[in-house]
Amino acid sequence: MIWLDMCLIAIVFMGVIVLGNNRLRTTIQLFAAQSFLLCLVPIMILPGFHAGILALETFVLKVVLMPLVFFWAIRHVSIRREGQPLISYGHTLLLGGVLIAGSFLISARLDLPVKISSNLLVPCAFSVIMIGFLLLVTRFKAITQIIGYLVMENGIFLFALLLLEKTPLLVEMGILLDIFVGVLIMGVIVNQINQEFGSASTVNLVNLKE
Amino acid sequence: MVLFLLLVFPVLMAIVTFLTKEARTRTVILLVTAFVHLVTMLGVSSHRAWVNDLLWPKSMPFLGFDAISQMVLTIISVLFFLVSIYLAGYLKTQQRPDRVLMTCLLCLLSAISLVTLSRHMGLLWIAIEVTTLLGAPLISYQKTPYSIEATWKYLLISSMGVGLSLLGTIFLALSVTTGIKSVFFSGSFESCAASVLVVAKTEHYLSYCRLWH
Repeated sequence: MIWLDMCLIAIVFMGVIVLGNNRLRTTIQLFAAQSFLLCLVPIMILPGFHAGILALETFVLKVVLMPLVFFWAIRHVSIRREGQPLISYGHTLLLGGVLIAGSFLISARLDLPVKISSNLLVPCAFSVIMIGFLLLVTRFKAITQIIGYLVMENGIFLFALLLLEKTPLLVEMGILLDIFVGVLIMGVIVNQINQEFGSASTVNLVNLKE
Repeated sequence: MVLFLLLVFPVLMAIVTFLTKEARTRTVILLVTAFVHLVTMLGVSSHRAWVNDLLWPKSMPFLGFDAISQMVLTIISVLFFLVSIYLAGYLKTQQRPDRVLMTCLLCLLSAISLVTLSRHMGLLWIAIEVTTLLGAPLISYQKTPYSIEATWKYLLISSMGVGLSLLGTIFLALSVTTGIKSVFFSGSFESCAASVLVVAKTEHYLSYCRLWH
């Protein structure tokens, strides 16, 4: 079980590093690394056929295909760094720390009716969800926003592992596939934003008014 | 048969639409599919026995009708038929190719049917996410800066909301051991919640339809 705990903590750390990072390429690679650690977790919790298939699908979709889509979407973008975010990097990291502490506090009071394989699973899932939210809210680059959304999905995936035996495999595969197709469509839209606005930043998207 | 006409037939027609080259044929296919869907739904509404015999087999626990989903799907079917008539006229005035739009629209009909028909929370979530994703190409049809901005905002906010609802679904499933027996809809209360979701979704689309122009 020590490896499971280590893995979960590493997943949260990956999220924290993404928070303090301003290179698009590194951010995508960090997301891939986080997803790789994530696909190991179901095997550690409940080794077997179900977990194996789930891990394989996570690996193929989140570690291989999604980063490829991202690299394809930013291939024409000249600026490979996040500009000035809404909150400065230092403050984002500080806020991330506060959110992680909050998630641990909430999880300590949460009384779940299922048997939990590791005490760190629920707080880590909450932390990753919170980090994803923070990324999504504070960054302006379209790609970073998608990665924020995906980091949040990673957190939800961790949470869903509480129900690993009960969820039908078909439903889990459907969920992952849906998220992948969503990322594919978002990649296409990011490409269109690039062509139409001349940059992948969403700062320019202020034309629509009520 | 009913399930085939409601769920599989629009997808098959979408594939045919994607493969045809002529714009006129695509319009005809859209109208025919909408009409078939409408007729099927009216048949289901008028023959109570159909629903009981055909759609409540114990072998298929994931899909099925109840009173509310029947009502919601009938309304959607009527609306879709009327909108497709309007769309046939609207697309004549447009110069842009409409192949992707038509394909996504037909798949959307199938996905919305799946939302109302699903009896499992996980399947319901998948279907709702599919409708969200299929809405994106419809919004960005014009490819103007406005429509791209609208698509981006719609996609990001909706995906976020649907992601949160996945978290909610997991919480609901976790509470299975306490009060609720399973994540399959057994009472009318849950399907009521599902129908509210569908109605909210439809409203969502209507609010975005304005952004097409």
